[in-house]
Amino acid sequence: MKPFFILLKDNLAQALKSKKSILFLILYFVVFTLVVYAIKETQKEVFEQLAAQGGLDPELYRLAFNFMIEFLQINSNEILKTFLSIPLYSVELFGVMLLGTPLLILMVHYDKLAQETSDGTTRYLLFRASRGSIYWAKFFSMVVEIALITLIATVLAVIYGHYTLNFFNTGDIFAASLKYWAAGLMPLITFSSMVYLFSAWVKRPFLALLFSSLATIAALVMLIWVPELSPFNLHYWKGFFIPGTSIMLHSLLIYLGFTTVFLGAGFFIFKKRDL
Amino acid sequence: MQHALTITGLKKRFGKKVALDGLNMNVPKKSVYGFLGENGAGKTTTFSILGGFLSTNAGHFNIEGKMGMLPQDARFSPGRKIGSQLKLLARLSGVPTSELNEEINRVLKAVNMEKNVNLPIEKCSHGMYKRVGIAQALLGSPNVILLDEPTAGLDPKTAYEIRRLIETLNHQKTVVVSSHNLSEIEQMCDTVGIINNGKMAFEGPVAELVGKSSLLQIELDRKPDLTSLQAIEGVVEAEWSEKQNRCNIQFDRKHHPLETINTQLLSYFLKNGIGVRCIKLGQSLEHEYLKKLAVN
Repeated sequence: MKPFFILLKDNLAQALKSKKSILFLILYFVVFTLVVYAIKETQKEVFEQLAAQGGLDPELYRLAFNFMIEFLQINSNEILKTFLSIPLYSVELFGVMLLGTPLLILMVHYDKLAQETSDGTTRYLLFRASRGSIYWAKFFSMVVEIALITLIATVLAVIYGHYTLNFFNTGDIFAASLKYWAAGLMPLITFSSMVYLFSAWVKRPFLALLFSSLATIAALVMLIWVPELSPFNLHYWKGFFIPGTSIMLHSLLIYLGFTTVFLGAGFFIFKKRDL
Repeated sequence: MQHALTITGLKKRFGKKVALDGLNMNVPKKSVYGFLGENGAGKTTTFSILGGFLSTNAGHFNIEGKMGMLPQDARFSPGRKIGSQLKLLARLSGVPTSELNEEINRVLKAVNMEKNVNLPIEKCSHGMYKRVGIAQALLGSPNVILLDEPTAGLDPKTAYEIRRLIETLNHQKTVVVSSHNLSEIEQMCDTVGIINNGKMAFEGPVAELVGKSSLLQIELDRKPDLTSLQAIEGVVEAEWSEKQNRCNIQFDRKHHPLETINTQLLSYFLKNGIGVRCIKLGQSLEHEYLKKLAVN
């Protein structure tokens, strides 16, 4: 197990220094902040009016929120309009998890294994550490990176969105946000394992990018445009945005299943292939 | 004889191409072993299997103790300093954290690069890059060190330094060196293995390969009388090379031991006042190597 931890620590340290990671992180947060700020500004007037009237009934708001989710699944051409109607907090979290982070994962990690295999950098590791250590250390460092990025995004969402969160009547807003973050992390791990599978499979980095891009587009289409293609669609939406522990648990198990398949297949390929 | 590395019946195919066809190899402990063969003969494939980069179709191998390696076509991660790169590899080689800096200095000093610990790897010249590659192979004091063409593409001075380094490792470590430079193999190695078409064509001490010859090359200060030389018992043929001032003498080794022939020849030269500059048994390793390949 020791080489695994040595490699994990080294991968994380290198990720922090990686120019590509830093560039995409900056880009990610700049875009994220601008979008949130723009939405907040457009809704400022509405919320000020609501506050002056003594606020919105939380139960009514929750019902409206659920309706929006159903509405969004059926009338996709109304996406923009709907986005502006649901709470900022959800928009932010939704945006980060559904669109922002998968793209970030794709751009930063598509060549996680393929590039190193192509360059021959893994050759200095292979006679010192097992293929399993190399494979899992890289994957878990990717998961830690994603967890940290989305945690920062979640904290930012709470800071930006605290104005509207009061309508949720959630009690401890921060604790609720962390719950959503933890639950939302699972689909991202599934997504990462899919990208990682391609990275382990193909020998050329550009092919890893091509296949990962196609898979990313396919997954996003499934999530947004084809509600019939459950469980992805159904669980991503209902499981993570409608409170309810059993639904969430069900979703987590489904995502765990996908993750196991992707990672297992990737590991099998990486273990058998000539490097 | 004890062996530090043993390979038995190793087979490897790439599609229809057979790269290794039942390779056997026995590397004696604490010796420098030269691994020779033409391009595509299977040297790098063998190293890649030993390093865990390639799988095998059949056969097995045994390495006694820890292994260090300079693989061909391996690259260091760009954007890292030499010290940082070696630190990771040293930790993976089992070097305790408290001894990391000392170990890195030791291996960098061995390749004359102790001052470059903070140099980014991408700023290294080809020679420096190769030396860092050799330095990483020495990390953690491995028992067996495999060096795949360690002097290829290096300038004469750096190649000389690398050869010196390998020579200093002799009798301390087991070193397997693959190279196309046969004179350097002859100079550095105790034992050679010649691989041809994925099989071992010859394996044994260099002295045995070169010393089995029945040819004596004697550098003289002037031309001797070849008829008189040929009259000496055991001498089969004598010829003179004017350009090299060298007399090539074929003798009947089966019936006349080397010592007897040497004594008779030296007596003849002494008696006739001919100065002897150098006596060498057999052809060069290159000659014997080509002969082995032709036979196989």
